Amino acid sequence: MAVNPVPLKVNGAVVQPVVDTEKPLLWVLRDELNLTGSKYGCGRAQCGACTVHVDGQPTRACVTPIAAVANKEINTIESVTETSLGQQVQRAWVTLNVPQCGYCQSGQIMAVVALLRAIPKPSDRDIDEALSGNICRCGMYPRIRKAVHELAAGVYR
Amino acid sequence: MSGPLRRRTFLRAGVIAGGGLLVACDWSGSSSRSPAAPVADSGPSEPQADPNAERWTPNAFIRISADNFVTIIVGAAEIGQGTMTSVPMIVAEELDADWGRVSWEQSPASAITYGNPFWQAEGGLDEFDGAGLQITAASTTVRGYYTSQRQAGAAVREMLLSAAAERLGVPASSLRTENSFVIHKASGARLSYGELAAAAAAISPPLFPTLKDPASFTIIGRSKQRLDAKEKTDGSLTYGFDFKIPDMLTVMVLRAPVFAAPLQDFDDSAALAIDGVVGVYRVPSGVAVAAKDFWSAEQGRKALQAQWLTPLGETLSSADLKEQFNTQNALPGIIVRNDGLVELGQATATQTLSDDFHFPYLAHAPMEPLNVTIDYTGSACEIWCGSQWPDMDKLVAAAVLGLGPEQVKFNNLLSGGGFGRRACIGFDYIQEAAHVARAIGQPLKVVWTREDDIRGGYYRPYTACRLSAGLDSSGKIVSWTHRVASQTLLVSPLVEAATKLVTEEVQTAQGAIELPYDIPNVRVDTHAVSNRVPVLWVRSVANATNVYAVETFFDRLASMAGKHPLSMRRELLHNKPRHLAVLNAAANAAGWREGSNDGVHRGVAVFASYDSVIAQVVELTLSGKRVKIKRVVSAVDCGTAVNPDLVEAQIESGIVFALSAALFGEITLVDGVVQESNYHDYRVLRMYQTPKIETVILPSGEHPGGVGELGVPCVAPALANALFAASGEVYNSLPFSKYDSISFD
Repeated sequence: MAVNPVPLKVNGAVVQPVVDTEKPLLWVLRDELNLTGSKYGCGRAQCGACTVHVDGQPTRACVTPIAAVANKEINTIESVTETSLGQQVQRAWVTLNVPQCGYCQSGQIMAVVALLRAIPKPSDRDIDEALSGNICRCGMYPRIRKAVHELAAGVYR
Repeated sequence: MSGPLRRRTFLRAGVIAGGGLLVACDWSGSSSRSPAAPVADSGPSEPQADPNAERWTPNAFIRISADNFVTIIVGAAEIGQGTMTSVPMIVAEELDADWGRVSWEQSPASAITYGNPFWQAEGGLDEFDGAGLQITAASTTVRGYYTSQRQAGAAVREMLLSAAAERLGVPASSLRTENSFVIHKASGARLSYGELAAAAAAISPPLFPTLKDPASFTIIGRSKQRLDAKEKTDGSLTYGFDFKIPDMLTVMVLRAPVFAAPLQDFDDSAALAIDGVVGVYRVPSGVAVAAKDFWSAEQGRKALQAQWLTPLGETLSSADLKEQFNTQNALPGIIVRNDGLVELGQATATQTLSDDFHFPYLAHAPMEPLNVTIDYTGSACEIWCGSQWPDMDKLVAAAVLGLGPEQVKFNNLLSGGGFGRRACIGFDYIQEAAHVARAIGQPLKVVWTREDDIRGGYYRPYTACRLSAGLDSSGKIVSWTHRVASQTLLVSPLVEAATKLVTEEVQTAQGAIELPYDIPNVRVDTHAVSNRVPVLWVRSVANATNVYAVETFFDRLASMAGKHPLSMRRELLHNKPRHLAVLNAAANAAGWREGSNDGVHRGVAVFASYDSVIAQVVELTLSGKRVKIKRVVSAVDCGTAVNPDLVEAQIESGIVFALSAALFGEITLVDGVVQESNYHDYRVLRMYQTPKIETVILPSGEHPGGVGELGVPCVAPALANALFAASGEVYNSLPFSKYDSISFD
């Protein structure tokens, strides 16, 4: 185990936590930087509740060693309000009553923002491929799908 | 109203409305949120409550601030169902509150003040006089709190009217209320509830407030956005897993590899060598590793060496259960329903059918794993935890710590799912946390990993059903027997006492006893099987298993009788108008006509409980092995749908939950060791596997029924019936993933 400073840019701010370099990004965010919006659900990239963006790419923070994201740009759910697309997604979620317990929604929303950035008008198949890694035990998949289609149609612009 | 608000409804309302006057609720102990999120088009002028505004708390459920914001204090837990929206809607309706200035707050843990009136009726807690259990279970929140919350809102509205009448010097009858204002009809003079709050506080609450005619409702019956949606889209909602207190340690417990095995010895030297680990402690449930954060606790626990007296634990294997339960079911059980004379019916039968059904152990696997934050000082204790049963969790923690209930403050947090796991009749996680707190004596949070969750027990019990039936020469069902072998959920004398109230909810014949079909000779009997695998209610409890057996068996009998599953159901539900209505509505919504031949295979199932009724149609295509579930269509009669969109959301949620269990759900024990560990081998439904879902809510003005579990039990049998229609294959045990002949991927 090596404890070292790891420089990162998190939600636009430069930080340099001194941590075990094997420690997953999720626990650096939650326990060192107090950003608890990204959730622990499985610890092995099975559920997607921890999804964040690393240089814009959706990434499972629970299995990403902090050393692997040194000098990279991390964006979490806490910064989603800062982009127009993020705000649209949030509006869609509130309007369509997408969240139930809400625990998976940080990850769902980060995955949806990344999907819509890559594919502005995704097909059902695109949605299946992009979002099937995110589990929702409350089963709100049909509402998420509907929200994505409405977002693509510009309903929340 | 069929529900249990039978006794003392008025008395209770009087006591609450009077007793709580001007007693401010404790702010620091509750979760609270800003007012309603605006509707999407209302722009940036979202009203904001002033946290320093003066407040009036006329009763335990309502707070009105001088700047005219209303906060509804909710006794039930929010585990995703929308409690924090539906309960405020009920109060706000009768209060005539401005919905855009209504917010919610989680109540303290107190059965006496905040218990669900649903549980008053069945007679167990008389000594508390009017107390309900503060348990969020059995789909009881809306149907249980509905009348008392309406009364609470109506009483305060009348007090505000009286205060306004006094101030304006006019009779109360010349006033009306609207959107948190009292308005003088003649002059149009307006006084806000906030302005009137101080004067209203001096007025005696009415004992018998007048409730609105439902025809005049403007909030109940309308689809509203969830009041807790915004903080569930920006990461700001603090779940238990996120909650922090100063100097808090993170604790993981190494538990026995098989249930009930005692700890022999452990070696903590390697664990203590892990950076961040601060201590290792023996506790009744295992060995607790205390560390500065999650990561170090997890590393520490991995390094811990422990020896267990495994043979003394529960070492059963799932593979042996089939034979064991079938043997049990060869013997008569305790009879819980006996209509006519089954033997006589059987004697007149010309065709008979008999079969065994098997259902595996099942884990709840809510998204947020269990966790308890606890600050125990020796003479007092404060707990933060997402719980479906906060009043009992509090009492159990107090008992473990040797404290009086008044020395424990329990802060219930919103939960990342529950499905029953957070109302644990074994009180496992709260007892353990209290023991850990006593051992360590420092603020801490006990966290469960996903592996702990999947392997931690409190499963839906393994269950076997043996059904038999006879058809006479005209194809009429003349006899029906249903035998259930399952572990009982009642695990401790404490619970036995408390659950005099909930017998119906935990009994293993639930869903078998209520067989709705007009069959002259029916017998239902049960066996309570005993072993040491901890079991618990899982969303829809025994309905999920018994209704599967009933509804799939029914389609096989229909086939033997040469009848269509829809027409035989219609025939035998002729005296059940609500069942018949949902059955026809679901078939119509699905466009299902008898004899239709469009390549789509359909199956249906019908079910009533929680004062509600549902029929669900599953549509699928089958090509070779590959099953594609195309659509699930539901028709629901849940009485008054307080928030129709959230009713639909609950049905959708129930369907996905049911499909997860039907397709994949299975906890497997080998020599007592649980084989599954995480979502890769305890699979749940994902986006690509989720069918289209359509739900019809039948109009009704009746008392609300429950919907949280309603969408679950029919899904698997409707799916099996569609497969039976497609191929003639019978699936008598779940999950479907066990069958090589079909694939859902």
